[in-house]
Amino acid sequence: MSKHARIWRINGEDREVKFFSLDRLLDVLRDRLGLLSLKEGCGEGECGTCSVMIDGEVRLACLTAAAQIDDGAELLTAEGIGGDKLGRQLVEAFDEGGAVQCGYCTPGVMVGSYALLGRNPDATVAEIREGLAGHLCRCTGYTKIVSSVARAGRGTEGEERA
Amino acid sequence: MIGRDERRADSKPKMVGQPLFTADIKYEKMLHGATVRAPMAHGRITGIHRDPDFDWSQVMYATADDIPGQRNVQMIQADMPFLAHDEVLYKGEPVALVAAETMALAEAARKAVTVEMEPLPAVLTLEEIVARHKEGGEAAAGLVELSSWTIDHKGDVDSAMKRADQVVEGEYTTPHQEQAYLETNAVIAVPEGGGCMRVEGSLQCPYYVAPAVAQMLDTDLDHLHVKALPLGGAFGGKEDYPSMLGGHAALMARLSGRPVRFLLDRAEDLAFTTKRHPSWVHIRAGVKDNGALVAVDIDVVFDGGAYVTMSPVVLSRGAIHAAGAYNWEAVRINAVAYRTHTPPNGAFRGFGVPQTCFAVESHMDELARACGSKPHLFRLRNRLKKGDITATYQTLGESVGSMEVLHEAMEASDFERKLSQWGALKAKPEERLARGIGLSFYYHGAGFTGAGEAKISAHVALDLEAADRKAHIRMAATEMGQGSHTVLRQIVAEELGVPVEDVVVDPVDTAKVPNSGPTVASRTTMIVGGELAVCARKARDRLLDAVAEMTGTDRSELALRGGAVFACGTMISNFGNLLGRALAAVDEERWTFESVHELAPNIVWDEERHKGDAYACYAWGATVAEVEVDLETYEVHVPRVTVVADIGRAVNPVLAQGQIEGGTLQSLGFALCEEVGVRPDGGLLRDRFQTYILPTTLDAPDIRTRILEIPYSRGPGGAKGLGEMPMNGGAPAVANALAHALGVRIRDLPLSPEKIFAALQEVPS
Repeated sequence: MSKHARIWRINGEDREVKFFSLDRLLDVLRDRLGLLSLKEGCGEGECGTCSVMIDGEVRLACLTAAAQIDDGAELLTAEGIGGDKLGRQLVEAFDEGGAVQCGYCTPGVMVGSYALLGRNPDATVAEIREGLAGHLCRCTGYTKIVSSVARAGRGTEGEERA
Repeated sequence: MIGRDERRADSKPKMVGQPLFTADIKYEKMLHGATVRAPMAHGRITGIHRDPDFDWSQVMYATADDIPGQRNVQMIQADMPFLAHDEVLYKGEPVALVAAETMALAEAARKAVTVEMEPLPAVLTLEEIVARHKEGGEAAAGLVELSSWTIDHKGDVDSAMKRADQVVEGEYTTPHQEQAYLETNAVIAVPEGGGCMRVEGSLQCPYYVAPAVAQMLDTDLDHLHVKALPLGGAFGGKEDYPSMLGGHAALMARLSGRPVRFLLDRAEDLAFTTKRHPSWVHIRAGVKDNGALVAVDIDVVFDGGAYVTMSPVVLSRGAIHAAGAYNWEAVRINAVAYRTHTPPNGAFRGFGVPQTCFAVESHMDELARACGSKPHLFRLRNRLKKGDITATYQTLGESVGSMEVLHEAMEASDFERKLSQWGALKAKPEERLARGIGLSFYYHGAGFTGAGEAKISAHVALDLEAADRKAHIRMAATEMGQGSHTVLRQIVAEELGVPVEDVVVDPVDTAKVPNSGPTVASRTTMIVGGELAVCARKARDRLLDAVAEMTGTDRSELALRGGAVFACGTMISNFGNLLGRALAAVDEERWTFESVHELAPNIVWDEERHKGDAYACYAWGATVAEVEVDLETYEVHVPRVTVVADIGRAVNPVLAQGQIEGGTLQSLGFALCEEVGVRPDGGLLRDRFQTYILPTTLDAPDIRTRILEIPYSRGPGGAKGLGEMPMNGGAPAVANALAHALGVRIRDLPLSPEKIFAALQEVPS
């Protein structure tokens, strides 16, 4: 197994990371980089708790080999979600809307919601439900997650986001 | 503070992954544990062999012979071994443990152990135990009964049944349901020196784990303490299992002298931890042609799994609620849990009631139809009212919202219009669409059954601290996501007269908090919150006495509200300042106030006969589900659900809604897609999220909640229990809506397209 060294821009900061060819991105981000917001809920791509945004796309870190991520890639995890206006609006909306219960799915849902609103800030409830279908939540029944994302999206109307 | 949507202190940290869950924690020299499991469902162990070619020098290994103290897990009975040593009762039962510096090495070691067994005959399914139960005689006698209850106190069922104009029978079955918390079971044991040990992890009930592990280690509670870490959901699934897993971690930590973590992966968690009991309920009910309920005879069978564990209490609660929230002239309920050679079934939100509620609420629609009544009018007519007598012969006292929830549910869902405009006769085959609407109505006892709260005697404490000038809640109720720590802060803040920011919850660690009982049975707000309110009032009085003395003010002129002390309406100073001064004046670091719960005086309960006041009070609910059935694929879509709940008082309305929405979706999963299944070899069939299907955002309906507040005098602010009740209503409401949409009734959950297809084939066209 060969060893790799890459530099990824994670949550706005360049970080060097070393890993072996077959290492899962989830283990590299959690164990080597300490990004513990990513959780292993199922380990087979069903639950969304290990969601990470890579160059604008949401990926499941449990199904991704670290070696698949190129040098210079931009990663966003829940740790970095408050770094711009859209992220802060999401945090406020989730807090106010009661969208967080146990919190195990929440970081993944934040990443998924951020990506969704980044593409489509005016997302309708139906579009939000479609866009978050890869995130299992057992606590909330999704009602307050969906309404909080909708509210965060509306809050960005007509404003420029970082 | 009570009645306000205070935000959770843990919500923003959770969004960015700050709280450390058990899987996130690392200790120096921590070992990773793995479990060697039995290869068959029933048999005797004839040998446990370690591969001599494997390098065991870097691996800790243990079997039951290494357990220093009690070999069985202390629960209601101590019948389940930490590690099987002779007879194995389910496939996957733990037989040996390994621990190593990496998970990979532990996994390799686990695979290097072989368990040899001599097979014995196994009973594997609900189907089999029900067939033998029905056959009776020798067939039934060959089953192992884990628990049974009879409730037969109200009227003479046999003679009453003869007065009925019609007698309607039905059999209802439900499958295993997995709690499916997103964080799997996980526990760490940490040796602390001096022969002390700390067990911490994702556990609902630290005071269940502590004695069980202490007895296993042959130590005492001065040398063993248990701490709850943040929980990624539980729903009952971390009520009893952590005693087992904590024992495993503690044993390996004792043997190695190092911290040891047992972290189940999803497949293990699904395959080997507790589930909702599969159930069979037979109902024979008599009704008058005018729509009056007469008599009901109910037979309940639960599949208990391999060991007794929680089955007696789950079965008890299921049986007590089995006749529904109705005023029958005569009721008889026989309930029994039998052993199967499958993993022990245990606690899951609703605790036996979702099973019996599915049966009785499906049956109510059948009875209404039989006497030409409508579902809502039939229920309104027969509902239990204040002063009525329940199945256990309890006279209902205060806080009975039965009429209010039904009326509100009708109005909020536009029930009558949809009932007449939709239904099988109005289905549109050209649009491939049939629509239906269904109602369920239920109640749920709050707190432990009968005298249970007297046995536990919930003990809580509140400290007023000089260091940070805040009120510190000390009790054992865990925050599993439900928001109870926020609710408890609000209750204390309200009674003390301070903002919620001045109240904090101390970490739940048995070394530091008194035993306020387990976090179960919809009891935290009502029981623990109620005792904290008592502490908060004592604390306020103590502080005001001190302020009166310090300032020379007449005590009767002082009031504490909004975080400040007022004398005749003029503010003297804020809470923190005065607390600091008052404690400094007597040279103390803190004042501690305690309270111990006493059973509500109205409760008289005969446990053996299950007769009397089963619960201090009940929450009441009604669920209306709307369904759309695709007439070619028989897929069922639930676009909207309306839930009305009388919970006494919503201490935090947003959090209360969250409980109702979450519980409702779990009940829709129970209704439509969740089913574990048993393999021919006794293993559980669906052991991954690819096959065990949970509802997603696309399956979840628009859930509309209405909270009604008919106060309970002994609850804080009037609050009753809430957490479990929403799990009761969804499945029968969907089943009733489906029957309305298609004109056929399916009595077996989940309501899959295959069953709908089969049921429609049987309808004469």
